[in-house]
Amino acid sequence: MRDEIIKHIQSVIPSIPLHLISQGAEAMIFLTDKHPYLPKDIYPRGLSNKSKYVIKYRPRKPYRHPKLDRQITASRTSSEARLLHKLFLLGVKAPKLVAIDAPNGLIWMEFVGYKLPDGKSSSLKNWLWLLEKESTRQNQAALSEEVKNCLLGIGRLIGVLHLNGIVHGDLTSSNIVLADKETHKPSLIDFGLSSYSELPEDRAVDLYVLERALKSTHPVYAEKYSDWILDGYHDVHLEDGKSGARKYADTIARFKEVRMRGRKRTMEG
Amino acid sequence: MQYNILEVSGFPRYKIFASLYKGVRNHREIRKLIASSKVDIDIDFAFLNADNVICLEQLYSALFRCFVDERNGDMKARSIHTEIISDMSPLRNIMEALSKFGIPSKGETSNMIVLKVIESSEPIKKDEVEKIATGLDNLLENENTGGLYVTDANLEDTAKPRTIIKNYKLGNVSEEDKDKLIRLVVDTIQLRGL
Repeated sequence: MRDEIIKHIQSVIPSIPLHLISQGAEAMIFLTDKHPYLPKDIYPRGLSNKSKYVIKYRPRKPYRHPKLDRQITASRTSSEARLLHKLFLLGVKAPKLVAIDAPNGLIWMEFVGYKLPDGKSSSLKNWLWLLEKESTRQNQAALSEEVKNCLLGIGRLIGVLHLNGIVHGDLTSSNIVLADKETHKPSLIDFGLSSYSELPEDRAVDLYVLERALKSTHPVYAEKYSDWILDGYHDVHLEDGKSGARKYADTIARFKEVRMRGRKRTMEG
Repeated sequence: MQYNILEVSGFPRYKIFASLYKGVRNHREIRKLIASSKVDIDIDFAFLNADNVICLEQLYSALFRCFVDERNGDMKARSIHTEIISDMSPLRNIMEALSKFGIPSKGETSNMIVLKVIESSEPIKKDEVEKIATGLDNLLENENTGGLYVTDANLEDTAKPRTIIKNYKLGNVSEEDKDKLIRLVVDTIQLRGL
């Protein structure tokens, strides 16, 4: 199955070396060093990494009617690409759009991140794991000022997203990536489940999913991490004035409810 | 007589002849020429108003979009050259796109980027390209300079960032922030009509 899919993508984009890095239910993520349309001697402007690109590919679903499948793929692909554009306009750190072939389910985007000292990619998860491993009773590397600032920044990032009526839909420490080696500036990735919503419920679930993800991947320090993220989230809302403060209050009230009952609402009476 | 041959990596079966003409005096006549169907010379080109073009990445982005749509059977225009002009623009209406992004209708002189898509997987023969270039030099009247290479440096000379911001409806972007301007233009081209 997987080989067939890779064969198909290579027929759509021939002569592009692909390296599969992750596969989800909906899409496959490839890395490539070839820009989709620029020759080697021309570099794209305004991208942080000019020799590496991410290709997100939504394969065909053989169980769907071909016409419907094409429509669904095209609309999901283009809405994700439009969202990346929107985030760029808002100044939210996320991969920048490079190219799109919607009917074939393809998006090329900027590669965000770098290699950590242990050779792994710079997802928040990997970074924190590394620091947690280094941490001792005397030297709490995982609770350093660096980590604090990074997590405050992440909270702010999510806050800006929510203030603009966007929910990420799949916030985990793997979908947050450190973009810069020196500053540890965070970036959000994977907007495949994102949507526009003004409901406190959706924002609260976003926060709750992240809190749960942190608890399970970083059990020892999760509480501190969540607190910092929520601090950043709080600050950026207050800077937005009265309406931001109100939005924050609504979200947090709902967040507490969601914590009690879990992500899914009960369907009673 | 200067020109380049562009290639879009994903579409090796196309070669694109490109040349930049500055100070063209007979652009209005060429408009008329294209409108009338009876011509015995080759005028099958994409004539782009150079005011709107800030860099090569923008051109390549539109070419890519055009070839993707062509392959997927999603072309809106009848010819590939009209499709390129409309892909350069954020506008859905082809006539509007042609008037803003095609051959300028105003001004005593105009700067134009001329493209010609040639279907060929092999490199094009020198004499064939020279023939195209000579034909263009005869068609477009400027100060005997003929066409120039389409390079980022040359495009920066002819681009009008203010016009670009207006035509691409980019709102309050600074003209100075070239990186941002280019990303927004490329995004617009990629997302047009989606």
